[in-house]
Amino acid sequence: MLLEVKNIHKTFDDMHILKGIDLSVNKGDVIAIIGPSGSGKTTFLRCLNFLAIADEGTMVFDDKKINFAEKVSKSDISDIRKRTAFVFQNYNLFFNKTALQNVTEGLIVARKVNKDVANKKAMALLEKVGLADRADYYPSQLSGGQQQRVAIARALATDPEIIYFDEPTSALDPELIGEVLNVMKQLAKEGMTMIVVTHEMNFAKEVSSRTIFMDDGIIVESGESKKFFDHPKQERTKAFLKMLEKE
Amino acid sequence: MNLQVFIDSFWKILLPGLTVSIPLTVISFSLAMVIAIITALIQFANIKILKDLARFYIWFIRGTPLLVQLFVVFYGLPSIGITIQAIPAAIIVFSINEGAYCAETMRGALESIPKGQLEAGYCVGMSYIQTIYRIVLPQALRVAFPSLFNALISLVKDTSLASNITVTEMMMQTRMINAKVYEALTLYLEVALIYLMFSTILTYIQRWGEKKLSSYEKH
Ligand SMILES: Nc1ncnc2c1ncn2[C@@H]1O[C@H](COP(=O)(O)OP(=O)(O)O)[C@@H](O)[C@H]1O
Ligand SMILES: [Mg+2]
Repeated sequence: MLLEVKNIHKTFDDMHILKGIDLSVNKGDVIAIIGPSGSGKTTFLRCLNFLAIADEGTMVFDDKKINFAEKVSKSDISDIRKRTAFVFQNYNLFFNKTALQNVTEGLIVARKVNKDVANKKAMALLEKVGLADRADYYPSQLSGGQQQRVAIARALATDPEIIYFDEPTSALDPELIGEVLNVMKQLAKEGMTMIVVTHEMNFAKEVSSRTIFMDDGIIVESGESKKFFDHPKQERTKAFLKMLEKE
Repeated sequence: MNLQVFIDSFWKILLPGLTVSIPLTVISFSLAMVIAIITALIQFANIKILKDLARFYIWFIRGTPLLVQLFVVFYGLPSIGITIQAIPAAIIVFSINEGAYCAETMRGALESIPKGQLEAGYCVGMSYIQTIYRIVLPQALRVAFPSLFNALISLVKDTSLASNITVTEMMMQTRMINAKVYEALTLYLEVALIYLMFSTILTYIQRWGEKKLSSYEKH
């Protein structure tokens, strides 16, 4: 098991947002998290990467154990973050850095990788996401889809053991969604471990191994993706899927 | 207007401009920037106690006149045994004064940078300080650049106040020439013209700098 969290709770200003989430992730899993907006999906992903600190619950990441009831140490946070990556809904590229520099930053600054080595690796990753010819462009000169692909290259640069995606295509114009999903499909094929919060039901169904339905801070239902979509068990899941079909 | 007086005194007034007013501005402003960045970062990072000190400093300096601050340091401090030469006193007051204003500019600029970039920095493994230094601060400086440069242009003009604490900068020099030749209108318009010249040159530098810095903005 690569990652296991149990009983994750998170409260914001007296609002109980996460009400005990359990999840275990094996190497190579692609897990889709779906659910209505406001159900706590983003908050959950953020807790996994300590962008928000859970109030309660435990995490086991490979050999590291964290108990959120106690103060989480900075070194634990930093260690786990260095082994994971995060792709944001609105890309969050570094605006003062080129596409290439966005990818190399985590290598050169955080991991003290030699600059030439980092540049070479970054070029290969930009190639992989189809943006080698945009290496010297600044984020403001790239389309949303291109920015998100740079963000994925940036996530890949540090050889993460798991990548968290928070609705990576939700901010994109419809015609740009495909290019990002294709890159993600390729990663899934290569065996990358990913947790993907998404509204793309086809992606969840076709690409992910397991789908989780979250509503109101709890996991309502989860299961092997094909089964999940073909035969949802819970009424709330059925209602949610039906509502999406109508859209 | 007396053209001969104008011509005769031009170099005499310009010289202390080049040797006193400009260096006084450059040194004070550099120090002010250091103060401003530190003060702004203390507030941005929400460091307890230091943050209250920063707020107090800004409140105090912005709430009192620059001329009064100059008098306190140059004429006031000697009475408690702290005597500071005129030029160092001017540098101290100008940097502390300008630092307070620029700190507010910098704080606003830092807060205008989307928080997501800081989080992205964490997620690629960078520390808070690394992300601030490499990602947030450069962008904030870019945002603040026009305001900071305006502050610099104001400072060039404000250095004339140093004449009140015996610094022989352009204004003091003009007053001394006027005491001899009694051509107040000619001489004060002349020094005004030289300040205008300095400001204009700085405005051009500002435009050039803004173009240089805009490399990562939309073309
Ligand atoms: N930093 C925060 N402070 C206060 N409330 C928050 C914060 N982050 C999220 N929330 C609240 O938590 C709830 C769940 O948000 P989120 O996790 O973004 O849901 P989802 O991603 O499923 O749409 C929302 O009601 C949101 O307003
Ligand atoms: Mg969300």
